[in-house]
Amino acid sequence: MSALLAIRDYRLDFATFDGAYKVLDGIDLDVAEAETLGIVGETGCGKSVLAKSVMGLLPSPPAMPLSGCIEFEGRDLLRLKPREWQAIRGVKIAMIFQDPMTFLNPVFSIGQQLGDAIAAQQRAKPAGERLDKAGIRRHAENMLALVRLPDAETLLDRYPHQLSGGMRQRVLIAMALSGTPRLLIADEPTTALDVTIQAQVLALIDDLVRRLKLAVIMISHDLGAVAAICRRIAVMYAGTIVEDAPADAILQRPRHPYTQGLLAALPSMAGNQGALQGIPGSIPNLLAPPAGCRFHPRCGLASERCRSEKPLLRELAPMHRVACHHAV
Amino acid sequence: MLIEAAGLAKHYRVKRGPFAASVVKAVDGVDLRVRRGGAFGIVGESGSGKSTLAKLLLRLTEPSAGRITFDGRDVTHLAGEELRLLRREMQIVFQNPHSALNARHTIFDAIAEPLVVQDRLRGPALRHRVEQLLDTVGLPKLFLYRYPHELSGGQKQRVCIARAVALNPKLVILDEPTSALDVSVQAQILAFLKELRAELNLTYIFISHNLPVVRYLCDSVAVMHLGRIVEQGETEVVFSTPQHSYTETLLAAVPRFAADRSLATSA
Amino acid sequence: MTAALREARASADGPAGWRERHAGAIRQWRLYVHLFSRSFSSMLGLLLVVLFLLLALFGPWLAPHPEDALGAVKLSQRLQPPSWGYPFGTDEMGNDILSRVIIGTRTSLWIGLLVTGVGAGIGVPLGIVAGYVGGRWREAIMRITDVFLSVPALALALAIVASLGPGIDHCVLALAVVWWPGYVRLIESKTLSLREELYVEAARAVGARTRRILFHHILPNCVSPLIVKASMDMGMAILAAASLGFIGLGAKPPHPEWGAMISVARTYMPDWWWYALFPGLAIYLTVLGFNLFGDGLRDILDPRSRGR
Repeated sequence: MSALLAIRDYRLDFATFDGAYKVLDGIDLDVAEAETLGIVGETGCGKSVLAKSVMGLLPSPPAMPLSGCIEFEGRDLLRLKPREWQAIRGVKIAMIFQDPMTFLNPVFSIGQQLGDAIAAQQRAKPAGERLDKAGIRRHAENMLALVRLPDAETLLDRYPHQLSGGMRQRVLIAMALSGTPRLLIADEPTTALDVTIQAQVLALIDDLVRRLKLAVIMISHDLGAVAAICRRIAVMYAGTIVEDAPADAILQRPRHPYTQGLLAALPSMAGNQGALQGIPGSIPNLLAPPAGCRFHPRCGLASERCRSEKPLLRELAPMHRVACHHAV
Repeated sequence: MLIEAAGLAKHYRVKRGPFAASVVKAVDGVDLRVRRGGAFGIVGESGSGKSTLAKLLLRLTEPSAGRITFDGRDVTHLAGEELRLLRREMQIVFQNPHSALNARHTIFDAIAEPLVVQDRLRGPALRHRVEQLLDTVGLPKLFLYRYPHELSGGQKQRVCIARAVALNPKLVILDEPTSALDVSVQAQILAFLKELRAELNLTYIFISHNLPVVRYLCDSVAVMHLGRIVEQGETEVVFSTPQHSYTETLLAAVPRFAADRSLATSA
Repeated sequence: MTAALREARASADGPAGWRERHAGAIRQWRLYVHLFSRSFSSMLGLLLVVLFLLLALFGPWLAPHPEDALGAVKLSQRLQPPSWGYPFGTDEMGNDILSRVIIGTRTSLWIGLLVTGVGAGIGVPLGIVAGYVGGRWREAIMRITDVFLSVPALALALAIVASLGPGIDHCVLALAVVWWPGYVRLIESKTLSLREELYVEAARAVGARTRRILFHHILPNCVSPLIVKASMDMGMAILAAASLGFIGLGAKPPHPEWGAMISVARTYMPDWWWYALFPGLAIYLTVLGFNLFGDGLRDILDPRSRGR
């Protein structure tokens, strides 16, 4: 079955006063229908930039796609004209962001904002099929029920500051799903939320995936949150994907030194684990990234080959790809 | 005991309309005792009052009720010069290293501040001490004249730690010091904090919402909820046999794979 | 790479040189210059400001007929149209208008500078105190500011000058009295937001006294909006000074002043059009220059537009 989203050898530079930042260096990734993929990486690895590329939200300049393609339902998103994006953005691919408060306008009620989102998606439909005002309100109530927010009627008339963080994130999810998209990109959806609320929102996303046959790309630096609902995890470092495998495999048998380092850096609830291990060094300056494998300056296994030849993703086990010369 | 609080409370009056006001009890009757040389953790979610509690203990704000005893002295209503002198003995590292440093000041200025303000150090003596502190936190001398925006999050937090230990305080309060940092950087900073405590003979009060981190660093812990401490005790005991339902809720919310590091979830 | 290596070697031993200590600041300035020079309007503003500053500084030496600025009377050459000898024409006393405009630059810019300087000098400290200390001080300062702001600026200035008598210093005094409230408003709101910054709290936690916090943390961060407002204000102050001069309350004749020149030129319109045109053009270009320059400064100092 062909993938819903197929990213092939995608390279992206960012042009600035200081020079060109080589932000993404050959991304190869697939997402199938109704699949949950987690993209994990630390600050500066390029995961948010990748997400925005898929949504076409990167202004170019300064973003300069160099090569590769991003195919969604067979069409290359990189070649779409602004007009053609209207039928995709919000309608087929939707995105939710990190901080729900800053993404809701404080002077408009929930009903107005949800209604606006629905109305915008209606424009993609032919005139005869569009919903009228009452229809939009009903649709809004349905969406709130979908994300399990009680009292949809009264909620529509409330304002963002009257809702808690978890409720606001649910409203954003409702807005994202109102166009019945096939792919949802969630960029750090739970980072700004409390631990107990995080669990609830993750459970909601899990439930929606099942009910709506929705494909989800969840981006986070929190391996725990991603592990909770994603079947597959891709680990990014400095603009490249270093490991791409089922969640179990990543967590129990990580093969790339960076993934191993990440897991070793996590404190656990179990008893004493001695000294916590960070990863020596720091992320590379993307103006002049290391030659060969971008991780080699920080890697204990680095050899001459690593310094000169960039490792490609190889399949070391079924569905388990690793980009490392030394991984087994 | 290095620092003790009894019945500590902080109430804020919030005006609701021209004639009505209500009281928000950010901290509502807190008792705690922190052993000298220990690492005391305070866990809770946002709105639990843990940050307000930190400000109360540091006397950055005046308590509405209760008593604070530091090193045997009653410091609850200290003011003016006495309060300034007290500041030498307890310091704080904030959560957000990006905004805890003045963007217009160099790293040198940032670390030198406590030394200039309290010890009136100048010239070569000041420079020497700042370099010493930079070395203590493992940063190269190269960084002395750099600006915060040229440093990474972890490096900025180290600068904040250097600033906090500049006057050789007895107590350091750490308010979510690693929440804004990446996991690998967090591990470095946590390991470093552990070493530093032993090296400089410090007492920590570590505030966080991240239970595994508190488990790693702290020997005792207090759980805060809505301005009150609902459970206190040794970390191992509280986390393995919680007595209060809220503690149980918090423990249950920790992602399972972090909880036991054996099996991943993917139900 | 080499620069970093040099830096590393130099800092490893011995005291850091001036260059190293300010490497970060130097880089920041280069970024500012680069951003500023990319905007045509900003560069135009800069050009005009520099032009008029030079005219103000070197006026007496640049003017072709400097004696005309002191009230020479050459009735044989009165009201001549622009020509090679007199590029801006002559006025009713036969004086070269170009020379008078050039020398008038000094007056106008001087007034503008003084007014802005005194206005900021009074307004900034008041604003900082009001914003940081709060409470009764803030109430008192802001209410007094409100009173001054509610009186139409020019009317108040007029009243003051009218009671004191004409003359540049009275003009400056009157305008400064009218100008300072704007600075209080700006600095007070900026200080209010700065007061809540984490690094201010950190300074307090370290035991810094209020004076240190104000001078070391708050004031430097107020500089950007202050510079932007001051440069835009220069234009407005010059315009206000010209307006006072127009009503005859500015510099005493025969000292050349643009507003006063336009006032006299009124009666010679429209036949001897050059008399009013050139002083008017001078006012226009000066104000335009400062406004564009101020706009350009705001664009580069606004953190949102700072180079990524």
